[in-house]
Amino acid sequence: MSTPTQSKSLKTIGEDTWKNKTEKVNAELFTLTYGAIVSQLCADYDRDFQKVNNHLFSMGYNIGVRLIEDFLARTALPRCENMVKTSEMISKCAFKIFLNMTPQVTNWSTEKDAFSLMLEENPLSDFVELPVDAMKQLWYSNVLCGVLKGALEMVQLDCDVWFISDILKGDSQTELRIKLNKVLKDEVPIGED
Amino acid sequence: MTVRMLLVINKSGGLIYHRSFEADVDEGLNSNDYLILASILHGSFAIATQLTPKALQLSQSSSRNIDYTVPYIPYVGMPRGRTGNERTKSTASTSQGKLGSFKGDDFFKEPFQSWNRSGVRQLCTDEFTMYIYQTMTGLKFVVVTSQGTLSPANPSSSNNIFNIHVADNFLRKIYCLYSDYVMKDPFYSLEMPIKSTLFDKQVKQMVDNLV
Amino acid sequence: MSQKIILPSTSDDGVYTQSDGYEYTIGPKQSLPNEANAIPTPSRIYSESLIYRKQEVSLSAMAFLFQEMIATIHRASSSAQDFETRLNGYGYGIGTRLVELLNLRNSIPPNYSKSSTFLSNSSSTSVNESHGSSGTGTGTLSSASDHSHHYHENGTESLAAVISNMKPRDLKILDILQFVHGTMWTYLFGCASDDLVKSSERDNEYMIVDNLPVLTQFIPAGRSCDYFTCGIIQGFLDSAEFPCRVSAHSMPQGELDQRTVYLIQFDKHVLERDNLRFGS
Repeated sequence: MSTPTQSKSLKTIGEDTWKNKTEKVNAELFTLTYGAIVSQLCADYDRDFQKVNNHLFSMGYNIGVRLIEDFLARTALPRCENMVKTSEMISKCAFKIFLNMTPQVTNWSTEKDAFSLMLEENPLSDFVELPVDAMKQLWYSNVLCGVLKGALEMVQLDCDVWFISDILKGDSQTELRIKLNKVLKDEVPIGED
Repeated sequence: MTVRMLLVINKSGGLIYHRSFEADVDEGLNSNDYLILASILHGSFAIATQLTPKALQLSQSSSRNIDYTVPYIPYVGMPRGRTGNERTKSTASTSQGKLGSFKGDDFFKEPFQSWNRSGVRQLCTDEFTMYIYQTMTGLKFVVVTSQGTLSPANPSSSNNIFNIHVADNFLRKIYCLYSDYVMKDPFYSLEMPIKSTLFDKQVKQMVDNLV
Repeated sequence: MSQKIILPSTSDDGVYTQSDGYEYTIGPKQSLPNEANAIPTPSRIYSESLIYRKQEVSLSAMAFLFQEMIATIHRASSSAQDFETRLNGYGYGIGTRLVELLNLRNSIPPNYSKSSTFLSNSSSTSVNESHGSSGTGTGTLSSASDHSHHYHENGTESLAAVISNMKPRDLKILDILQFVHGTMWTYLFGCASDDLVKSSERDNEYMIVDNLPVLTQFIPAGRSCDYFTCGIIQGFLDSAEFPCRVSAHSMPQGELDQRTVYLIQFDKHVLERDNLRFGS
């Protein structure tokens, strides 16, 4: 399918929007603020890291359902016709525009409904080393899963999002998995097609 | 040629923002009437999508190349000094000139695709003209103007498609304001009426800049 | 538990320490300079984070995180005062970290930049740095002669070797406030604050003025979300041994309807000390 105005690649759009249309702040302020949130949660839940994970996820969800409006207003990009396109949109546009990073998309399921994002850099967890007791259970950047879940749901994609591995836990890489459950066709705004 | 009213309708048809820019518009209508109005608008928008004449549907499906691109029209709703050639930084706009989380002197500078393909984009009557911009999340931004065009550059309204494009540019900018001053407000509850004074102020400014 | 030794010249995976975590009641593992040849080297994080690499995220990402943080705190708070105290606490921890960090960064010579091995992150070209070749930026330093001393086991340079003249922490009230108004504000928000004023009524009161606070610019007036920044200021001043209280006040002026004033009230003894030491 070729739409005439889509001549620009998503990569170019993402980079251009990041560079020219987006105000920025020091990433360390972001890192420090997120660190303050996580450590406060660890204290509040008395180091029950399962609860911390859940809380981070729900914070992310609340962010995601709002953040999607920013993304759409800023880019006004058309709907993705399949998950392959969606994965590129997330990696090359969304991650680029909000966090100035472009995670690699990989590990596709055979049905092309699930893929992984490899986070080589992650401004949320820069300079973080986990304490021993958190190593096994805490998904430090779990807020990201919630954000993706919430944002995708708002554009009528019901997905599961979770971390498979995290460098902070001693894994060799940080892998985030996104799996499409179904397209919420009934909720697609009337008038779009 | 003025903006009379701006409405924001959530995806379920609930009115979450309503603002009149003329004193007399409110006569005879209370806030409940507006809720009903928004709901009717939401419904008729949906009905209208089913009313595309058969001939048009056929020609659409055969050619498949309808262009939903909205051209970028520079500086719609932006401060006066910015239109035209003299885009010097005036004294007033040094700190006021910032566009929230959007960098540069305009919210966007590219043509874009309309998400509203089969719904109502414009409604003309003898009394007013209404334009509707719908987002991918199902929000509707609605502007009601007195007859004719939104654009000061083209008051004759001879080119109607141009009017629609100006309205789309304008309403996408309202959407940008919404993403900053409503979505980033921790005290706003989703789907509920918008009460942010900052959003109010920014919208008013943009409307004033249109005239 | 054997610690992996990091080879900085390899990219991606190898760059990061395979950390086993640390015991949080004790804190991160220490390594003193004189045991530099002992095997457990500190994680690279501790040296890497000291040097400022200009990295940015979008204001939107920051604003959304801030927004959700506020909502979370607000939900848990019983009163407006409780809300302000909690929010202050989030910022406080950040402020305390900045005293040492910003002073240290200020002490790094300006010409020590991109050529450094600290800054070459995984994606940039891999400079062969494992044997302390003095061809990189450190060669210009006077102390570079015995560079073997300046490299840890894992090949990263010791920051101590780079800093020839460590700037002392400011001791005078006015100096430390200038630091907050200038250096710290620029670090946090990209520019110095709009004004620094001394109260004409009380000796121990100073004000920092921000015409448009970066973090709260999308939040309408009402509840003061600027207590996060108050916390940062207070954490900073407290840990620099200038104990104080900081509060935020919305004070619109003309067009600037989001103008915010941070009122800093130093403890009495801070003034007495200042008078003793620097008074006429």
